[in-house]
Amino acid sequence: MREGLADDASLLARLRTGDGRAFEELVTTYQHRIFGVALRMLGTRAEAEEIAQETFLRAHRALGEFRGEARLGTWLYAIASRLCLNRLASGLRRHERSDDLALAQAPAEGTDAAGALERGELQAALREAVAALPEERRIVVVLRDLEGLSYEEIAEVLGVPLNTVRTRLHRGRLDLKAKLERWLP
Amino acid sequence: MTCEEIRELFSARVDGALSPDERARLAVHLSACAECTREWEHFAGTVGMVRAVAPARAPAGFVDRVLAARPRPWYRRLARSLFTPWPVKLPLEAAGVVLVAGLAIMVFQRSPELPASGPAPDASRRDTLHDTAAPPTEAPRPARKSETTREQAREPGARGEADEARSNLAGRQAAPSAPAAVLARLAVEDGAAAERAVRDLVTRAGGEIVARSDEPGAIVLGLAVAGGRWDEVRRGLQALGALRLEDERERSADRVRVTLRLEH
Repeated sequence: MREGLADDASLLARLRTGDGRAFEELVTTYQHRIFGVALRMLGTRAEAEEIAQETFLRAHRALGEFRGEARLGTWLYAIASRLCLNRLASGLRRHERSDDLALAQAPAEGTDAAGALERGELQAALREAVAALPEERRIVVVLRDLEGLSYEEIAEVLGVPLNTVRTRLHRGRLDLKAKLERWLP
Repeated sequence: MTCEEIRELFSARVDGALSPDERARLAVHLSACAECTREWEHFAGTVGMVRAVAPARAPAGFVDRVLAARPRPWYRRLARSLFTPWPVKLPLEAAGVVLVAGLAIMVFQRSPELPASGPAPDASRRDTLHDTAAPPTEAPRPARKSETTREQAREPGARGEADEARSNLAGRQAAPSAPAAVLARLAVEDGAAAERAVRDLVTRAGGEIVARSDEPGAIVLGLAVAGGRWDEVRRGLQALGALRLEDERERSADRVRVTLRLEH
C-alpha cells in the first residue's frame, strides 16, 4: 500500500469502542483509495461514490466481526473489491460509463497545446484500455499498479491464491501493452 | 530458457520479485535477443504509464456524506422513531390507539350498565321509558320493596311512584345479571281500564310499574317483573287484547323490563 497505517491497532481499538471520531478518521484516511478503486472498476464518479460510501457503511456495521488479522486498509479494499465485482456481475448498472475521467490526469510534463492534446488522448487510451480488461484482471491491475498493494495483499483482498494473482496481473499487463502499443516508443 | 518463458518473467521483473538467479538469466537472454528486449521495453513502458496516473480523489464532502449515512446508535434510532414527525412516529401513534382501545374495553367490561343501555334518550319515547329503569346507582334496599309495591297497589297514579320504584329497581339491578328487556304493544278499547288491569296483573305477579307516560292514542307503561313470572304476565296481557311482542331478549334473566304501549 502506498501509505501504511502505523497506528492501525489503536484506531481499530477506538473504532470498537464506538468512537465517532475514529470512524471519521478511518473514512478520511481511506476515502481517496477506496473511491479510486471503485472509479477505475466502474468508470463513473457517481457509481464509484455510491460503492465507496457503501464500503464504509458496511465496514461500520461489521467492525465487531473484524478480528484484526488483516490491516484495516486491506479489509476495506476487500469490501470495496467485492462490491465492485458484484455490481459488475449483477448487470444492474445504474450509470453507464460516461465521459467521466476514470483515470485522472497524469502529471503535466509540458505546457504546449500539442503536448496537452497528446496527453488527453493518452489518458483516453489508458482509460479505455483499463476499462476493456476482463474484470478479474482489471481489479488485480488496479490494486497493484494504481493502489500499490503487494501480491500477498491482493491475494488476501480477493481471497485467491498467490499464483492466481501473478497470472492475472501478467495477463492484464499484456492486454494493456497490446492496446497502448502506439503510445510506446 | 525460451523467449516465451523469459517473457513470463516480465511482471515479476517490473515488481522486483525475481530471484537473483532468475534476474541473471533474464539479463543474459535480453542481451542476446533484440525481439525480447523490445517486448520488455514496451512491457515496462506500459506499466510505467499506468503507474504514472495520478491518484483519484474522492469528491468534496464525501466524508460528511458517509458520516451522515452512518447508522445511529439504537437509543437514538428509538428516540427518533418515537418523537420525529409522522410517518416515522407511526409506531408511537399505533401504541396510543391500542392503549386507548384497551382502556375503553376495560371500562366497558367493568361497567355492567353499559352493555344493557339502549339508544340515545331522544331516539324514541319507548326507549326513553325503557332506559329510565336502567341505571343502578344504589345498594339493594329489600325492606322498601314491599312498601313500594303496596303503595303502588293503593295509589296507582300517584306522583313519585315511578321514581321510588326506579330507585328500588336500581338497587336490585346491582345484582350481577342485567334485566332483560321486552317491547310490547297491546291494542285495547279502553286505555284507562286496560291500564288498571295491567297494574293489577303486574302487582299480582310481584312486579311493579316503574314508569308511565301518555302519548297521543297510547299510554306507555314501564313494567318490571321477575323473570320467572313473565310468562304469567304475558298471558294476562294477551287476555286483555291483541298483544304484539316486538322485541324480547334474554327471557331467562332474573328481571324482565317491559315497555308496554296500550294503544286505544
